[in-house]
Amino acid sequence: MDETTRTVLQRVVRKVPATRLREVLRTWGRVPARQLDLLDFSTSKFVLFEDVRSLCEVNSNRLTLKHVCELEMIYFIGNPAQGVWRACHLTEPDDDVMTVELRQFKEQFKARLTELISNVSVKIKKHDDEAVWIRIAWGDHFHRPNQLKPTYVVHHLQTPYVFVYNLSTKHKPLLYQALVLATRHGSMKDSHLSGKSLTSIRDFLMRSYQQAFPTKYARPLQEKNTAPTNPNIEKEHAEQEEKRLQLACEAFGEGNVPRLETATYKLETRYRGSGNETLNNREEPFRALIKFSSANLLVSLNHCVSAGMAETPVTPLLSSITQKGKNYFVITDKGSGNSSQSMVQKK
Amino acid sequence: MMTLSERFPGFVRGVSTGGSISISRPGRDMDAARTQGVFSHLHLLERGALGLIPQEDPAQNDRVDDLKAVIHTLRARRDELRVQADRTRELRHSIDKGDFLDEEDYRTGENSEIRAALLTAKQTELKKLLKAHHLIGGYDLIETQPGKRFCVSLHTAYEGTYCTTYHLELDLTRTVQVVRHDVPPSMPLDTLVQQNLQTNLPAFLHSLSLHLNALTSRQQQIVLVKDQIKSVDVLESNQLCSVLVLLCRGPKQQDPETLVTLLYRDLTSELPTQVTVESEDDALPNSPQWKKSKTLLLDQPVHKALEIMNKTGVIA
Repeated sequence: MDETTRTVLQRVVRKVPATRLREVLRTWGRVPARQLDLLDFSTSKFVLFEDVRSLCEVNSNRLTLKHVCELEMIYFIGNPAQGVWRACHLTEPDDDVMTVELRQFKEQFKARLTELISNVSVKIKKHDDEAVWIRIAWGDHFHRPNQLKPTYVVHHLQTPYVFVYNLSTKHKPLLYQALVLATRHGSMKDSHLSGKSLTSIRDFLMRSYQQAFPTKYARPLQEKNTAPTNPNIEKEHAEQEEKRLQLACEAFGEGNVPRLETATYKLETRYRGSGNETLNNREEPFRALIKFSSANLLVSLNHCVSAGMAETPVTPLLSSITQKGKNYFVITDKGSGNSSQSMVQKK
Repeated sequence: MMTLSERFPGFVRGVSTGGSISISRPGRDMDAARTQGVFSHLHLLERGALGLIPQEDPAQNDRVDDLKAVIHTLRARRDELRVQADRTRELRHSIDKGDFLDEEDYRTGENSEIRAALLTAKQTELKKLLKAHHLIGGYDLIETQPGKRFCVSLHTAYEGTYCTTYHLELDLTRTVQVVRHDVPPSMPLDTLVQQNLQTNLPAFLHSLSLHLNALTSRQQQIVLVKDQIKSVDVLESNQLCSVLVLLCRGPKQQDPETLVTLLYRDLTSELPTQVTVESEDDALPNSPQWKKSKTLLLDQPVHKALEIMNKTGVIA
């Protein structure tokens, strides 16, 4: 076992929680299950690493970097919520885009990327849910690939969506070019969507969550544990409330919506408020950054609208989060004229 | 001396001919004879035979009068109904022609009852048609903002079972635009929009519905393959279900594994357009039974084709 392999293995053992480690090692399949059962997972990670290393050396005398990278991928695929994922969008598809197939994609992608950069190690794995996982360790002309800070890319074949984790700006064009060629598209661009949960941003972008649409048929009543109200009290605004709820659900989805944490608006507009002369007559646009953050942004926004805290009908600024599938917006004076209004109300 | 026949002509005749009324009603005459004496009865009979007693029955007369009255009222009723039927026919004709919203007629209240009934009947009929239209998989249209936006629901079904319902919200203000939708993103919606949306909405909806129904069919087929044919593994598929890679095993243990790739280039069809068979044994894909299986896979939904292949012993 060489030095890099050792370090990567050590990192994986350190990173994976002790409770998960047994399962991850079992899926990996390089250590027999009987020996795994004998391991004591409650000891310190240092001891544990030594145990795992010796087990690996005993069982497969030529444990290479490739195998350890696979172990890391197995853990990462099972637990992708470890940092910020960014969504990208492939555009200008070729005519034969639908025929891209896994084996072909693998070969093409590897070939293209190694053409662009000499020292790079790529590992591609197909996951059960039709997603292709790519682990890329980058190096350069003078350095071997850095296995400790790999970039992860998730792509669903025959869809235009790519999700990227830990990609530096230096490597961005290289990856984009390789992906564009391997998937037979014309170009690739940032979707302005990011989040901690890969599954959430994927569901959000692929619209695989429940969206509300008006129907002719009565919606199934949602069960609520509301306190029994006095029968003499009549709700005057029940109808409006119902309408607000419907509008909120139409704008932000209903039921189990994908978990988005933030929405950022970068304002480059002129200040139009009254009473502040210093801000009013400036030549320069008034630059501001507005950031909404919440444990589950869509649920929060839904609540704001249905409770009457934000105005109805829902402003396009908020509803375009779901409609455009973005959570980063740049708002200029030209684009959406009076956009700085109505964003002030929130929680 | 008078002969008996002179004295009692009626009696003799009655006896000799035996066909008079008195004979036919013996009970009552006998009673009369008993109470009033034979002669007075004979007298009565004689008078009867001579036609001196008026024959009319007062009860019968009453009945005739009654029936005449009934005929009269029925005739009147018939005429009334005839008029009404004529009027209804006329109204129905005008409603069918579409000018049933004649305000003036409404205000005068003329024929209002028939009109209302006819309209209700028409409405029920239309509702039933609409329901039938939904049942056979038509589109639901709902106006969300009057005159500006509406929402279309497209139902999909496979083998008689409803599957997913997809929605589109369309904006009509300037040009027809899709505002939002929950159609899977890999669906070539943009192409369909470019082709038809501005010019021919029904055609657009139809082609979209075809695409969606074919997608549902392919999805369901994969579910059925996974469910019913245990020996076959689904190795690869995608969101659009346009590629399906299957790993098939031969019926015997030592048989080589076969990789079957189905390509669905025609997205409006539930059947593949291309089938490739690969195996470690190079001769296998060209064997007659696999050649037959290939055509089978092209002609039949994949789960049915695999089932037949299973039965004929091509795969386990």
